[in-house]
Amino acid sequence: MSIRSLLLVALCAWPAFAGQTTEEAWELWNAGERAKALAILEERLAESPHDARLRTGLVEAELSVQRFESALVHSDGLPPESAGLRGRALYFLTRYSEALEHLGAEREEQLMRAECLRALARFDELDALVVQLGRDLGDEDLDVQLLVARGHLRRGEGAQAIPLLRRVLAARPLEPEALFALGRALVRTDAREEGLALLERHRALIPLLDALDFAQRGVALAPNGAANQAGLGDAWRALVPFSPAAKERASAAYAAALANATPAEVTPIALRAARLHWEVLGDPEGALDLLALQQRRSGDVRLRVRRADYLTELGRYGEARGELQQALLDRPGDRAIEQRLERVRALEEAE
Amino acid sequence: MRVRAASGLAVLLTACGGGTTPTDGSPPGDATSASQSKTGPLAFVDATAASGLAFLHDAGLTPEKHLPETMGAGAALVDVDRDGDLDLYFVQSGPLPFDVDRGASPKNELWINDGSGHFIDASAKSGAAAHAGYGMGVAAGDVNGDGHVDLFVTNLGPDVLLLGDGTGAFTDATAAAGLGDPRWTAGATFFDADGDSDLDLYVTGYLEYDLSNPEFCGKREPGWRSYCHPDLYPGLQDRFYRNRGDGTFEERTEAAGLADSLGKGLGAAAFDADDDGDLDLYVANDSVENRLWINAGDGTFTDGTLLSGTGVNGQGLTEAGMGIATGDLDGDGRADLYVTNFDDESNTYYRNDGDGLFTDATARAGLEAASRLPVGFGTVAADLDGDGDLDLAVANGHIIDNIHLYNDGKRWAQRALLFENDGSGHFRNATDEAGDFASAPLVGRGLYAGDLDGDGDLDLLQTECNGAARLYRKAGAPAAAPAVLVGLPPGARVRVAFADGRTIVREAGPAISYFGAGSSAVQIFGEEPPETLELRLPGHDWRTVAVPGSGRTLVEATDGQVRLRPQPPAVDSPR
Repeated sequence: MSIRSLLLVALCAWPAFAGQTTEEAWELWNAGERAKALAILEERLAESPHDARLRTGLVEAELSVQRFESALVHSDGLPPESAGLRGRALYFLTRYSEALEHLGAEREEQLMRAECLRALARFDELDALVVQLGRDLGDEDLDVQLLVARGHLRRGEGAQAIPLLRRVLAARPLEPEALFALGRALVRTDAREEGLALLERHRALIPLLDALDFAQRGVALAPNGAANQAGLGDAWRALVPFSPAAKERASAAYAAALANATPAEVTPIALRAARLHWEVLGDPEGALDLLALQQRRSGDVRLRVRRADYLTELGRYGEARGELQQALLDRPGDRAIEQRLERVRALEEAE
Repeated sequence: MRVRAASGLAVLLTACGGGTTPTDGSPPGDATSASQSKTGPLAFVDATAASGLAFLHDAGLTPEKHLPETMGAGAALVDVDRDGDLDLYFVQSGPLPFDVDRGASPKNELWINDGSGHFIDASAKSGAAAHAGYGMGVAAGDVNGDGHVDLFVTNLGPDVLLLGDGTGAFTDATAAAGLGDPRWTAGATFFDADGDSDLDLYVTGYLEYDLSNPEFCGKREPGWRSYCHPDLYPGLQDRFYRNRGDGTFEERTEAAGLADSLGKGLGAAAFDADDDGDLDLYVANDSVENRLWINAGDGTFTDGTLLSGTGVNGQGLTEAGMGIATGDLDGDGRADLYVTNFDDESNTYYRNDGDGLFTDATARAGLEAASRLPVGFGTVAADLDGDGDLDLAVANGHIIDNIHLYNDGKRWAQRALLFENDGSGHFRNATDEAGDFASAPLVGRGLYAGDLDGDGDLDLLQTECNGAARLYRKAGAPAAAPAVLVGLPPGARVRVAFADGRTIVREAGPAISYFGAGSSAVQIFGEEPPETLELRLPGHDWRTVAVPGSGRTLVEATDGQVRLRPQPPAVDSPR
């Protein structure tokens, strides 16, 4: 895991606010008024400094909006079971030596520990930690395998790293480090052509992952924003050639976007979601249903016209004609719709 | 200048809020400490005021937060009046949006050295060098073969070529030379790409940016507007200009195989990456893949990025490349790369393994932790402590002036970093021993090395975005007076063997760092004089030359022939 993905973990962490005293803060937080929510939590904590649950919630909230200094301050006094949060704050402040004293046994924190040791070039300790992680998480754990492969590469043992990297890549086709490292390792063996092909693939993948990274941050920080969810859908859709699982992710993101969309936001998102069903998922009925549903919701004639286009392509000319005739009622005299209608009628007659 | 972690914030923290007023510069990380040593082999003293230098960069900061404002500007350490010392040329920016007719705008400045490290503002007598564009960077070299330093300035707007006459005065030869790219250009470097002994030019294009229609990024509350992510803007293609031999140029980007150079380039450095005797090109791109262009020797290039592994970091991730330092950092005779990057990325040390292959050895070299929090810009690989290996110095400063609102662990002004090399490419964070160089947080941008006071050791010049340039004089005296080779063409290699079996390899500058040009001289430190010294001019073979004594020696290279002429110490400038 890179520092960026670990940072994203922090951003995605949802603070565990709980209890009546923080209800107001929780509502503000959900409404996007995070500064006010944090201020209320700080006030409450000043009144009840021994409220461990409140302190934990505040620190988690601060970590999730990159208030790492504040999180560090408020982490003084955390209960033992939450002490790792202090380690996280120190990690993101790049105070790695200190972070190592506080990071706990949770998976993310163990990976942060490995990152700390790597950044500090304390490789003997890192190697020992990786062995320990293999015992704790299992040697088949993909993060463990990646860490083991890193160690091999660091020691110039490319041949030992290659099978591990292949396994990681098979399970995580979007893992940039595995793809890049495997390509690099192969280039240095007699499998140079395969290595270069993987590096070309990595070159094509990276801008898409950058876009995904950007979109994920958007959703992490404003989870209810339809535009952000749709942007995430776009990013996942672009990754479909690299990972079949990206289809489902894209579909889910568009669905979330439509659920959160205002009437003015519906049409562009619905068009993109329908295109995903039509072009990527191979689900024309899904595309047609989605367009019909969202057209009823927004009343936008563009969705009706797109539905007519899909129906035309499916050879369902009668249904297409019906949609276009209805569209013309909504937008009389629209030349583009009239032309489509003429074409559908001609196709009907030819049939 | 990617804004990876912060960018999401700048764009999306509309839902977030709060923030504290920063009370100092960089927060403490594993990289930093408040205590500073004023003595020691790596200590520098702020000699700005004592030197008379008073250049103040004007970024023209606006409420609209135009992205160019935060780039800072570069400088060049060049002997413009041929008196043997290093003068200083500063690129200026100014108010935004700028007017094409910038009569009242601040101009670039030329400061003349009197030989002792004292500077006088000679801008008024510098002719066209007192140029008033919205400046970015500067490249230096003798483009027309008249023996005088010429300058090329990149701008947000038309670039300019300034021909020096050897007295400190310059004329604008942009139109006649066929230059004057009106786009937003950034990094530039002169080098002999085709082995014909003249200097060709590579210029990076940065972004398409519309000053009349600035995007709004950040939270829509007073004080929260932020600079936007470079991803919002299309990148521009870099351009390669071949020198016709007379200081005029023809654009040969496509013919040279460089058409696929559409990045967001900030730094471009020419160095011999594959050790075949010609100069290759490395381009640091902002938030997209960096590029290594391998020279066939005739000024045509192929993309060596994938094979070399220098496009991304060792984790396969793109970074926000800003500044570049090249040099043999691990003492194996090959030129390595050090690239500065954004926060939440480390700067990256690409170790040259030979055969065109590089390895990200940042962590192994001890260079990872300290550079993760700051945003790195200018960087220098130079023998700062005179012990025979190349140390690293880095100027840091965030690009978002209100970053503390979005991440309370970060600040706009940040401390510089200094790493001491143990000779094998392993570094120790010696920032706390750097004296004034790293004592105060600055919005650092350019960083350049050169012997500014003529005492034999290397001093540092740092430019600040919207702040004063600072001159850091090396504290104390060098252990032994070095041999200094001047007059070498960019990228020429020097190989020196000592009686104890040590061999060091150096490349002649100017080192571009970020947006500028450090001294082109090669400094050879050692307790004992070298046993042998070899030179390799770009496109030529190694040749053994007489070992020069300490002090300055001028290397005259004409038509592949080399002559060494010992020089007297720098004299007071006639100006």
